[in-house]
Amino acid sequence: MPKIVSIHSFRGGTGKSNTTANVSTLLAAEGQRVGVIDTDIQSPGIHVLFGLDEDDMVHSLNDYLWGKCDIEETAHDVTASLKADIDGQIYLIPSSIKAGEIARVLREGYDVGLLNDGFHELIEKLDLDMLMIDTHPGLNEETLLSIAISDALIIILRPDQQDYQGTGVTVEVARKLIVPQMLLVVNKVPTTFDFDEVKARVEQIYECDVAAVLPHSDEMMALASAGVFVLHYPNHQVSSELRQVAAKLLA
Amino acid sequence: MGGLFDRLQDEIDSRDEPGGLSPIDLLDMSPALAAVIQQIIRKNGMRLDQIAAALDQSPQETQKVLDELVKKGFVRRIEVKEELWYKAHFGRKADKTLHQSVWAALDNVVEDEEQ
Repeated sequence: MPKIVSIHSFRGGTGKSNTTANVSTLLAAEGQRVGVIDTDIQSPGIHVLFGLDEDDMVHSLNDYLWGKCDIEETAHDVTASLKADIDGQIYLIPSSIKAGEIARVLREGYDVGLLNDGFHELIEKLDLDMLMIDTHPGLNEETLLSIAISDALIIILRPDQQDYQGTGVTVEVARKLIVPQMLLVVNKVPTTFDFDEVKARVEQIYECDVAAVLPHSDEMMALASAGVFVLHYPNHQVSSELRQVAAKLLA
Repeated sequence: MGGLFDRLQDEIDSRDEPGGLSPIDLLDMSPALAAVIQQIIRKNGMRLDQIAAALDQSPQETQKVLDELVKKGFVRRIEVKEELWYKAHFGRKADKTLHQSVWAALDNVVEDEEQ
């Protein structure tokens, strides 16, 4: 049974796209056929992690939403570009990085129903096991739609008072939308913190499973989105925590 | 479901219908309406018997809710292989109203990209 997974954070800069790219890669390494869709139309970025250049984007999600192509034509097979031994497959559906096209979506709006059709058609036409939706931070129409149709929702937060408050809003919305599986990932945790205590505290606040507590990592900062972290540092603590997230999605 | 022509036809049909569903509406609905429409959205279209079974309701009970959703313009009846299906009817995401000078500046960007 294919699974739709949304990755969300209330605030920007939490590591949402990075987590999406890494967990997707781990799932593909387990033999899964994974689709990754960038619904952050206003500020797209996940294509960078998969090494997809703007010039190589034949079609983007924007083209589909404007009726210029079918959704499967926007899917780019990025498996080979990861240069790793991956049994499964990763298809990336990027959003356009052209300023004019971003402006056009903002100006003209689009058919939200078409986005929902696109999610389901992707699963069917690419025979996906998992569709990972990288969302725009905060709450807007596409984010709410993504959460509403998801079988699982991963909420990323940092150990920060603003993130704690915003995450409370997202958790409340997800409960209202009856998402079957909700996982929290605490990211960029200073290594001086007691990780067990962070996990216990966050679980207590939101009454929700914390799938991973990721330490702040200089290696991650140094990689600077130039690749997928788990492939560069497979034995790092961040990678082993992310493996737990992938395992929970597969369970 | 559907290629480009089906989508164009859907769009033409939907222009005659009022409003449509916004994902924001999902947060304000009564639990009875929300339960039904969330099932339909998740599966991207379902038959009455499928919805009733998924929610462990009688078909009559589900039909009553579906009729209300159709009346509100949130759900449409469509025919798939001679069977009646129910599909969410989303409204178009509203365009943003910005000051004209902002759009003019963005138009310049588009022109530059197109050259």
